[in-house]
Amino acid sequence: MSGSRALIKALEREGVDVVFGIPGGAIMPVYDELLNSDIRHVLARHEQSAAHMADGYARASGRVGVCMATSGPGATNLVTGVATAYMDSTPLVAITGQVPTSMMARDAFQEIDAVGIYTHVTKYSFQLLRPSEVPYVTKAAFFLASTGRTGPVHIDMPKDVQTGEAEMSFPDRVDIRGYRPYVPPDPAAVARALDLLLESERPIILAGGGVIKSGAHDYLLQLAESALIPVATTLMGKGAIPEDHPLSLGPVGMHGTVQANKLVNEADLVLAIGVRFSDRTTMEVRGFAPDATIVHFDVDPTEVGKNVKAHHAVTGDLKASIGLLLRMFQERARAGSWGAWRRRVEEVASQWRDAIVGVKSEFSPPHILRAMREILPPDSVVTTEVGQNQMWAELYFKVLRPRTFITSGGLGTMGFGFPAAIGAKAARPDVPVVDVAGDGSFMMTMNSLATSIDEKLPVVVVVLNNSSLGMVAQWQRLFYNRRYAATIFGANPDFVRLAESFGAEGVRVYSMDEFRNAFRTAIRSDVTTVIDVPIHPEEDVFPFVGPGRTLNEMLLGDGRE
Amino acid sequence: MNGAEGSSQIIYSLIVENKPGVLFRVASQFRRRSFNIESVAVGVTERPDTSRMIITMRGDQQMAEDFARVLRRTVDVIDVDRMDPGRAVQRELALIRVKPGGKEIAGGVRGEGELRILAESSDGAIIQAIGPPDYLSSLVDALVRGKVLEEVVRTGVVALEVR
Repeated sequence: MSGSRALIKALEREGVDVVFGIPGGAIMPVYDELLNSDIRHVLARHEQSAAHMADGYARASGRVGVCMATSGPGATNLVTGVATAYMDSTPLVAITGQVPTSMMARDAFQEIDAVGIYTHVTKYSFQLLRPSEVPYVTKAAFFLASTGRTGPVHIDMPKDVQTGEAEMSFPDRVDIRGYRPYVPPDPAAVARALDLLLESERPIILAGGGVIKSGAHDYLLQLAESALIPVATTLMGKGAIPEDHPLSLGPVGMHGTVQANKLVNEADLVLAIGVRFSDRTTMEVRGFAPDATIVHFDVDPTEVGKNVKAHHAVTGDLKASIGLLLRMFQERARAGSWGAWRRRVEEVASQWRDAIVGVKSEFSPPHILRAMREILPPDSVVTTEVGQNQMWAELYFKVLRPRTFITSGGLGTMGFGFPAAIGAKAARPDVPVVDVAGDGSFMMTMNSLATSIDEKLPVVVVVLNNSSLGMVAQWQRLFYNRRYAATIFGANPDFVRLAESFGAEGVRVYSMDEFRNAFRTAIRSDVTTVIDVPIHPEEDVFPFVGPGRTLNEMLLGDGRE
Repeated sequence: MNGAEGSSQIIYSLIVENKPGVLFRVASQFRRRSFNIESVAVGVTERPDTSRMIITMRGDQQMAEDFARVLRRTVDVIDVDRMDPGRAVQRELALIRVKPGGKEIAGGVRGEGELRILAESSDGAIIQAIGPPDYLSSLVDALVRGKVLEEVVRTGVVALEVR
């Protein structure tokens, strides 16, 4: 059997039903073999988008996403998407073609040291040197990607390994000596965490992306409801608890909600679950929950103490840890110990829960996001681009189910949202998928319109269009004396005609009523729709905690702090 | 994160896969944090598929413990032991080319090391020195001060902890 055939067979054995990519000279044998398989291939128009599509697919489905590209520029273009997945711990297998082994390290045409590059943005980067290695390496790649702290894994496949023949044996499991992903939680450590929780007077849960990835969200909700503890999240944790739940405070951070930022600051115990204490979450770290005991649950021991010192940590599988914590809580305690704190939480939350701050009109992005939530069914998937659009979505779009909010958190990759939406649609063809976009970010990967039309993966793109790089412009307004260095676009395309030229629908709206009508039509349409929403060019995102500030130093946009 | 200067010695003993790219992956973790590796010695262990790396640097103890977790997480790293420098037997080998007179200067340096002359001529000698790393450093310093040092090759520290 050839190496290419073995690769496709190994993918089939992993249950892969779709791969996203672009062919090229050094990966043609693999593409040829794809024609003999039922695996669907989705043709991207740029390798970065192929990786984002696989990422969106993985985040929406909980499965491993697969993307592929040729050697050289194919491999380097793919890197941004793989790095995005790495920062947000998305399970991905990225396959790149490579020049034949006899040509390696000779600066051959389209040769790049892919392993040298990918090592830094993956959990592991394999280079195949013999066809017989293909089954084991593919199995190992999926094992690494999908276990422990999930993440992308890279396989570099020289062309002669693709064409070469070998006797293949396909393992059912692999054992990697230096990798032990299944660490059961230490019951004594969980019991100690519970002691600290029960001793506290003002506890708060901070839930991160790890809750969603590990599938611990049901336990988390039961814990919060049993104990009546409020739950704030990180950006990546949106969806860990339904955001319309009375105990949900929304996200903490630079653009966190007033209630979440205020109450984290007042807490005397933060139960941090599956968070990495990103600087965008904690802001000035010395001012983060200054009076609180930090109890940190995470699957990755290197996260403990990395950014915020934990007073107590439980490392290991989160679903098992939180399940155990819940059982112990239910055996030992009952709700009702935190009456005064609960009244304080409700006082703050009820004041700010439905607040919209710092807007310029009744047709501002927060109103658009609220309308989207009213119209969309609860299990719809929403992706975002990066910038103001993303932060408005963070603040004003309430996520009701895990895996329905997909955003580039760690790397903040512009151009992410639209291809991620296409990938999510491939995973969830049954639900509407919407990309909350800005014009700057959408323009980075809008050529994916061709993919969405060709592959019949219809999504809705809502372009909050301020004809500028809005988040940078916002910082220039606030911190650079309104000096707009390279942020104002002179010549934006007409997004309606642009969409139409690809065979998509395009519509421009000037009022909330027009938006609601267009959006209702768009989510039922069987082709991709771009809704161009011209917004005030100086619309800013509030609340806002400035760089170097602490979470209780929020700007509300109307002169209030 | 870079707290290298003026702080105490850190010795990592790593058991790693004996295959291409492992040193690159391990070294990348140091490089990303701007840690300066003082010495690294790698050799195959009693098992042919397994190598041991002894890596030393300077830094503070909390940082060293956090970084040990990072090394442990690296896929090709099977085990990480952070040695207590006070309890570790440390040895290093140096080959030193000296001018005439170097042999005598070397012989006068105090410390628990061993010297052997491996080659000698009217131009000078090649000395083999084995001992704790600070002995070898004193030796090199003395030879530099005596203006007789031509070149030196050091293996890097190997160490085992006393049980």
